[in-house]
Amino acid sequence: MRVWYTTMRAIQLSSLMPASSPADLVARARTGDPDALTALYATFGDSLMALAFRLTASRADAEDVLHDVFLGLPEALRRYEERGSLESWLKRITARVALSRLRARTRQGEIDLPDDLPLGEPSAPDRLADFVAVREAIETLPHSLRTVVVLRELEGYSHSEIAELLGISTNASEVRLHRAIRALRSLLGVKP
Amino acid sequence: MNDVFENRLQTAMRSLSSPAAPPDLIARVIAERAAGKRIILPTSTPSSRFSRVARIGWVMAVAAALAIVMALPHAVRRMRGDAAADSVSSSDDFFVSRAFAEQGARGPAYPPLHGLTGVLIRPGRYQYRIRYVDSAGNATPDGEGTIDITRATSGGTATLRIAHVASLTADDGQRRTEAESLVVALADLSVRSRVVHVRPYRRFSEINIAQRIVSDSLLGQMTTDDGIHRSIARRLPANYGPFIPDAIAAMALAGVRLAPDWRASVSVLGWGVIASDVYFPVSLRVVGDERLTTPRGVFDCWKLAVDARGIRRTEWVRKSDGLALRVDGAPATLRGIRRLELTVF
Repeated sequence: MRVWYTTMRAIQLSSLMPASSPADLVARARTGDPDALTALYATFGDSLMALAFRLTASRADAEDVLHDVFLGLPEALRRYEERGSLESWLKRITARVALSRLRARTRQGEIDLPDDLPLGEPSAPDRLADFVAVREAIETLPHSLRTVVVLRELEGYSHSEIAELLGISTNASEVRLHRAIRALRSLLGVKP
Repeated sequence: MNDVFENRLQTAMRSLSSPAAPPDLIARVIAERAAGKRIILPTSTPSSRFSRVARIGWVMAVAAALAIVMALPHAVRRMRGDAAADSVSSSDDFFVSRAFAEQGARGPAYPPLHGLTGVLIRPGRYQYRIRYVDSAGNATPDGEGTIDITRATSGGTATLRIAHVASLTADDGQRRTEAESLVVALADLSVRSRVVHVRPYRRFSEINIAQRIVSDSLLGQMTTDDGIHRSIARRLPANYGPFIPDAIAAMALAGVRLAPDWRASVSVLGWGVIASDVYFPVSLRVVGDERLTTPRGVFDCWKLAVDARGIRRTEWVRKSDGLALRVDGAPATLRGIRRLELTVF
């Protein structure tokens, strides 16, 4: 908490702002208007944070992703053509930023688990109803598999969309999902 | 069988909670943008399914275009000289529009703050309160804090020991208590050590920050109650100094000679756990003088404009001893003001 000079209660205060239409918000955010950025953050921040967190499996990394997305948002919005929903567009950008961060982390030599996750015998009983176990299992996956399962199962992307985002073939996306599902089934003790 | 598992997995995944977007993050972003910081996001739209032949053709076309572009400066240089060629290679419109070009990172707005000293800071107890005051004058209490200052010696150096305890409603509505122990050099208020405990902090029942400054580096560690550990190792660029913790900000001007048109830059130390929270440049400028009515009486004060990377505040500093008696903030998103004022000093 920085009390004297730099504390700001942006989110709570944003609720005091007059309502704006999405198109108006986008137009103002393109100019870098702080109020518009704050309103967009209040509207979409949580869902983008959730996506970044799911992809990176790290709160700190997710916060950094969210920071970068909103830092570059005004310039990026100038290339937004308003064809699809704004949230989908923002999520796509967030996913790209998160993925590039994961790639950079791998390049920097941070250890990630191999794609060929050693799978032990399924443990009994089935732990799919245990949220903690599900979370841990997903976080255990190497990021190459985790990204596919998050984008497919949580975000509803098609394999061709995932392939485009990850720079892989559609077939590779399908294979990764299959391997991720197989790994999760084993980790969660679900018998085939 | 797979479908059944996938359906159950999907349901389970959608039931998982995720951390909320940090409430203070957007303020940092806006402050960084105000300081000219930019980033280029990957926004390319999904490519259509080019056939392999079309892709090769596209690549060849791009290569040809690149060859022309690369050759062009040489041709222009031959025709118009080196200066013209340099302007051809300039691409300041390419990613960031000209409208923001003049807002590029320029360093601190004013000369570094000189005259910091603890010698003129009176040891004792200071208390403050934070209130939100709406346009009708209604005040809503939002927090309070105590700052205890004592003189001490650390490693043979005369120091000030500052104990700061604050109780506030945080951005996300969570009521938090912060306890900070700070040791600064008596001579110039440079940080010797700093330990911050905050409880609760979002989902953690407690978070702890320990810092020290070694040469131009901010070093330390963050720990949480559930065993998360982060090392802190950040560089503090000299041109943004001096660096002071917020806990000493109210007294920091005690040894500084203020005057009409006085202006200076200083940076407030962050926690340094993430890159965007290492230091916050603050510019200070005397804009006038006023007689201020406070809970303890009426005092002649310098009135200062404070700009913490786009977050603007007004500060009243008592002329007799440099004590900041009040800080009013009026962020762009607020109707009314956030008022922090000393109540015991």
